[in-house]
Amino acid sequence: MPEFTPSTTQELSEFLQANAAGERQAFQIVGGGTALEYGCPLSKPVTNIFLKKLNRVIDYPTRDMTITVEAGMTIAELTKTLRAEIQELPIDVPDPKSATVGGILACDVSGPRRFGHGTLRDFLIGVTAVDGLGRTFHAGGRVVKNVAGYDLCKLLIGSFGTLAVITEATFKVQSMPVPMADAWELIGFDDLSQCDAAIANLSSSACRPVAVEVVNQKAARMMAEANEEPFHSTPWGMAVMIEGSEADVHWQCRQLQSEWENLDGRVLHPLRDYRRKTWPPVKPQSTVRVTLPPSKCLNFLEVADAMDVALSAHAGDGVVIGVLPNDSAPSLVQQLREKAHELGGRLTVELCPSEWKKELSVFDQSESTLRLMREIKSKLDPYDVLNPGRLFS
Amino acid sequence: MTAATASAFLDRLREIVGEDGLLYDPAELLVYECDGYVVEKKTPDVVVFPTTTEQVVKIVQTCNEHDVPFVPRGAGTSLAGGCLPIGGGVMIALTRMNKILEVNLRDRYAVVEPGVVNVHLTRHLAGTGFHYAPDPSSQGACTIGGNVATNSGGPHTLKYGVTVNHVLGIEFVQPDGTLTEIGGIVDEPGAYDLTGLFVGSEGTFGVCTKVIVRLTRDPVAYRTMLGVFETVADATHAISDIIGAGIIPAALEMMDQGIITALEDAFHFGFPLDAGAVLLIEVDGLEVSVDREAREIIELCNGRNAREVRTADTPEKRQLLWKCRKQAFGAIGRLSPSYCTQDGVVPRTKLPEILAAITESGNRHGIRVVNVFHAGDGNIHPILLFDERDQDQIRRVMLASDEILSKCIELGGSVTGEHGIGVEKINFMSQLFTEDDLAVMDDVRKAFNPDGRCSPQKMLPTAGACGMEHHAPIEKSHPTRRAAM
Ligand SMILES: Cc1cc2nc3c(=O)[nH]c(=O)nc-3n(C[C@H](O)[C@H](O)[C@H](O)COP(=O)(O)OP(=O)(O)OC[C@H]3O[C@@H](n4cnc5c(N)ncnc54)[C@H](O)[C@@H]3O)c2cc1C
Ligand SMILES: Cc1cc2nc3c(=O)[nH]c(=O)nc-3n(C[C@H](O)[C@H](O)[C@H](O)COP(=O)(O)OP(=O)(O)OC[C@H]3O[C@@H](n4cnc5c(N)ncnc54)[C@H](O)[C@@H]3O)c2cc1C
Repeated sequence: MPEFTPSTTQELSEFLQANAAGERQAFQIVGGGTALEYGCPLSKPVTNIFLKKLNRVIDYPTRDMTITVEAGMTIAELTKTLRAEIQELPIDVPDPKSATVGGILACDVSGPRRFGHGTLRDFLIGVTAVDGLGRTFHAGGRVVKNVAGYDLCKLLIGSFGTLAVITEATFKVQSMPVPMADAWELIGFDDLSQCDAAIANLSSSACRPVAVEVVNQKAARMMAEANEEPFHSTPWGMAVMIEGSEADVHWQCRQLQSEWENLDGRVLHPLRDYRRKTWPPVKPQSTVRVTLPPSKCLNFLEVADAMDVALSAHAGDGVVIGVLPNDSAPSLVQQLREKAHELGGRLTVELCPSEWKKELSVFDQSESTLRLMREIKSKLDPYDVLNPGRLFS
Repeated sequence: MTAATASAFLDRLREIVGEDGLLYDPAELLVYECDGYVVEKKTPDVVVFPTTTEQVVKIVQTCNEHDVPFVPRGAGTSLAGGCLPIGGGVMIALTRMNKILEVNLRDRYAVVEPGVVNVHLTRHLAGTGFHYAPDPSSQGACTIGGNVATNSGGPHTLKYGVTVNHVLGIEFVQPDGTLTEIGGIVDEPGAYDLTGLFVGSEGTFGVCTKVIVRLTRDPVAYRTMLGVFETVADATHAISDIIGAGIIPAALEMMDQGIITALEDAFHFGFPLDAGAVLLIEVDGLEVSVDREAREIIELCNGRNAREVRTADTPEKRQLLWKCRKQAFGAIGRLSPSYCTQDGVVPRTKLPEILAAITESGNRHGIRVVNVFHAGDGNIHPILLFDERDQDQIRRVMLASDEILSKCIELGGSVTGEHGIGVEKINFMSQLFTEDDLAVMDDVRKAFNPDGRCSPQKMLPTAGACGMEHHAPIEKSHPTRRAAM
């Protein structure tokens, strides 16, 4: 079957209906194509469904602070549209020029500012999608508060295209102060107990940072090299982001610096835009994402640092992204996963050589979750035609 | 004798919860014939009061063995009839499972049993620097389990979000008796957001037995204001202006003249009786920003002909302003023997239009309507006043309600912002959703509740369960709704 690039939801719906009634060929859904190797290997031969023609703004009533767009729209385009009205969707997306609205929803992308703003779950209020039987369905709507029916928006976030193809999404957006300001404050530590004290201090600080990032020296060196800019020279660095009106930001930065004076750390000069520069600019070979209770995050960092992993963590949320050394083996992942479990966390393999996936499970879902996921999948995509095997077998 | 009253069945329940955990005397059951939605009534055959998760599991298993339907219930403050035991059977009342199991400030979460009353958690956290953000107006009575099942909102949802934005994980007993945990303190990549899906499922996915909620830091500073306007239209335009200016207040609540009068009669707050509407506005955040935001808000209100904007400059005055908002429902009793609170939502820029439509509908049908609502969210609560002894008034209230909700849909909104569909609004579902939408929702329900034994015939018009006809077993008595509190 040839590849398919629908221009409307209806076209896609008819196509998938015909498929369900006929050949039951399997498909891979492609947004920006930046993360197709994420997840488990597909379990069947697939043809691509490209979303790139579904890239329009459907409705943008700016004063209601909601926007409805098609799922193939790139994040850069969405950001540009919102910026023109001094509004934003505060979700940090790597590679926004390529990544699409559908792609970030399917992968449940979140970045540093989730500490202050939350995740996509907090912003998606309506969705249109086509399931494996070709049924077009909607959930939610265009109002910020709505409890009519099941919240299928939530179901589709993080579903990796295994239940339905998302074709339209409505977000609640935020307006930005004018003039909008942001700043990073950076502090360096010799050991993690100092860092721990600094994070504990944030819980009682008069400031309300939107991001709390902790980076080890190996990661700092990688970022510095890639950006041709000096970074911190201490074993550990903590970068804290402040955002808001100029007056707010100015006051908080001063406040934070004075609070930090009593800590065992060295206040450093931050990078201009730390956020963008924390993403590994060169695609690494193997990365893992570890999610932990926030208070256990530093314990994990300590262990992984000793294993020569480059580490960058959304420490306030307990999310650690680790770039493995190039000569690693799957056994390193196993060791890290065991440590994560010991600390009450989970480890997901984001990127790795494809042969690793034969012996390593990519995800780390609980049995009860998997049981219900299979049940739901069997209802919305009974012939397993959408991204088969991507999340579970 | 039904399966649920058979002595073997009752004996089994008695073994699980003990004699004092069981009600089956018809007189005692009357209390449970309805919740805050009193239009439709049906007594359950049995009410059980489990105190542990294990007991809930056993109760559900027993219901399965005897093919008896069951329905979970919290405090029974639902305004959509969510607790109505359609088809009779067992009502599982969770109010005795009311322990706060854990509070972890460093990781910002608390673990609670479902019967914990919302305000008890708030009180428990007082002084820690953290709070649980969702604060429905019924928070003095309603339970966290009920809040999770209905995805409750409240005055502070404008800035802080509804219940789903504060729930990290759920333990629940599936309708087949399996004990299941979803979500948790830690993110689970590669998992569907089943926790998010469960929130708002109105008791149709199973019985929630434990909730992990997110805790939010207390704001450093507040400014609470009361804007007094000549007309409702001026007040609604001011709302749009405030939000359009990029200020997201922590709360933005509106009360119209009818409510102001009732509140004055009841509590003597000193409100101007001739004002068309008042706005209760609260901003919170850093000390540096609240004053600037408050100044801006006052300017914007003045730009919409506000008569005055009062600022509560002491904590006592702030509390007084909030007290009057939270007691608004209590004061309505003074206006009318019965009332019906509707719950629609529109894009907030459409507030002037919907409010005009509400007035028109009220006039057309000769029904007095007063308004108190979460204006910042576009979530309206027109309160229709009537006398339930007059059948014709009841009919006209129904017509006016219908018109108002249909208008909400027409304006791009929804028929419920926070109270849910329950049995009350089931007929609107096919107006809001297509056949395919409903079929997919029904499929999702079947993944959790394949036999439909748990909360049968709620929320979805398509759900046929246990061979029961929707309306047959319900005694339609008073089409009225008094506040449950
Ligand atoms: C260098 C790099 C670093 C990254 N780091 C992070 C990180 O730290 N944190 C993080 O969260 N993410 C990270 N990502 C992932 C990134 O955010 C994804 O690239 C992005 O979300 C995918 O968008 P896309 O449009 O390119 O999707 P695609 O790559 O096209 O698709 C990704 C997945 O989503 C499915 N999908 C796409 N569109 C739809 C749709 N409309 N409906 C249903 N399913 C669909 C696809 O089938 C596929 O399974 C990183 C990516 C890169 C390249
Ligand atoms: C005066 C008044 C003011 C109100 N104000 C608001 C408001 O501001 N915002 C708002 O959102 N709502 C409001 N409500 C509606 C109501 O209080 C909420 O819906 C509340 O969440 C219900 O909680 P409850 O414990 O009373 O649940 P119940 O009424 O007992 O049950 C509600 C639904 O939840 C299900 N349920 C209850 N417990 C469980 C459980 N443990 N597991 C599974 N399902 C369960 C029931 O089956 C039912 O479908 C108000 C009601 C009144 C009477």
